[in-house]
Amino acid sequence: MTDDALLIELSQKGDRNAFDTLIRKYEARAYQYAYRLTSNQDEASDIVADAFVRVYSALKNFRGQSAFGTWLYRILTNCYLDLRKKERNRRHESLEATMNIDGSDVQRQFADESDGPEEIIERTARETAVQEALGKMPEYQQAMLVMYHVENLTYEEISEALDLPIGTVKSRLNRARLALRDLLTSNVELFTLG
Amino acid sequence: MNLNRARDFYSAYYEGSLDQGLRQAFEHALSNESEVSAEYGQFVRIMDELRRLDRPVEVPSDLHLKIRERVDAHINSKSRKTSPSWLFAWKPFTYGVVATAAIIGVVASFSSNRGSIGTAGLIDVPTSDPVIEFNDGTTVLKFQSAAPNTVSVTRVEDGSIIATVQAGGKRIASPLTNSSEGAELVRIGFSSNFRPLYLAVPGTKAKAQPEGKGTLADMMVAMADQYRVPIVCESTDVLQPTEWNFDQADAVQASSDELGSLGMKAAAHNGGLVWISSK
Repeated sequence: MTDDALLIELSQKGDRNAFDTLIRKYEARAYQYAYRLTSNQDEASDIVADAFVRVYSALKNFRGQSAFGTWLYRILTNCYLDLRKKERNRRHESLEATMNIDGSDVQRQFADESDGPEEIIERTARETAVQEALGKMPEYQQAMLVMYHVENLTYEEISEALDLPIGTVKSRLNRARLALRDLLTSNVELFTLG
Repeated sequence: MNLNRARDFYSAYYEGSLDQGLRQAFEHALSNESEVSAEYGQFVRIMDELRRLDRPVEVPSDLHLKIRERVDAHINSKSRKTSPSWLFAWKPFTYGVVATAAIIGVVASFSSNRGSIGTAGLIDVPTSDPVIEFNDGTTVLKFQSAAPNTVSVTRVEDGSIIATVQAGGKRIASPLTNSSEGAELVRIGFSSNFRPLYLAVPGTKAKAQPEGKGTLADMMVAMADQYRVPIVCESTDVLQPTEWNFDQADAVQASSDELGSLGMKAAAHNGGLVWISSK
């Protein structure tokens, strides 16, 4: 029995310490994913906390057909989709506001001290442009791109997480990549070779 | 291969999964179509840029605490939300000879209602055994205890204690109300002298369960749902397996065969309440 399987089994029996260990094991990874979808610390934390509440509620029905990590991605994605849906329903926030990028955070995350100032500025601009473009994409496409390119999930894992056939994942991922490129046409000079 | 057609293969070519024929056609377009070459070059740089986003993000130091708080709040709210559905509104009061009833837990909130509850069925306590009556749609537990006695009402499904009453005097009587939609089964236990009773009380909505298979406890709940009357059982083994098929209008007749096979019998009491006991 794997560590996860044991922790899940104990958690299913009501062992709160086991569930706490499960949270500790996955919370950082969950946060990374949520942050890359939202680019917002508070939203990312909320998504992760909500996701673990859903995990807790649904754990008794978890039968291990997929890896716990993959299942968690699915729940995180659903929490993210729900968050955006709620925002749309409220109509309180503009699209720009939902793409809230904390400039200082982005700079702190992506700066590479081995580059000179001009390279840092240029790369930061590219990365910010990609982040912003991701934020403008339909949530499902966004999640798919982040899962594959940033979280390095395989097609099989994305297929399980999103409950889609692998062929559909591949075709939708291609569409998502093309859509991302289209969104970045206004910044095309940042991505032109030479 | 024109630009639109080439776009269909950007991903596959980028991942190296394009088959040989298409790969050659795509590479030909890359070499000979400047638009394809330029656009694919941008595509590659964007894909590379996406991968750069996988650098670790600083995790807030209070993340774990926040998760724990949220999970704990969920668990607490769940128990608060579900409690009322189990709750048998235990509203004890004294009558006849003055009795003392100290109410614990959820019952405490009802102390101000003392004496304000309807009087149906609260006229006398005929014996020292616990009695459950069903009058005008109200299920009432009555008992008389000369010695101090603790009465506890426990939800059978999960073993949770719904209410506990310390009855240090002579007589008490309490209406028992199930506020959930479906019938609920409780065990009424006494600290001394009296046998425990199992009681299924109909919920607020009619739920037909004419056929089924399970335990005697399940059957009691199904009967309460089906016939909308309380079902009382003196047996201590409500987990013995049984089947039921309530094909008759009368609850006692409908259950007689099943109960007979368990060595038990049912009798109708006032108001239609069904009392199950050993033969």
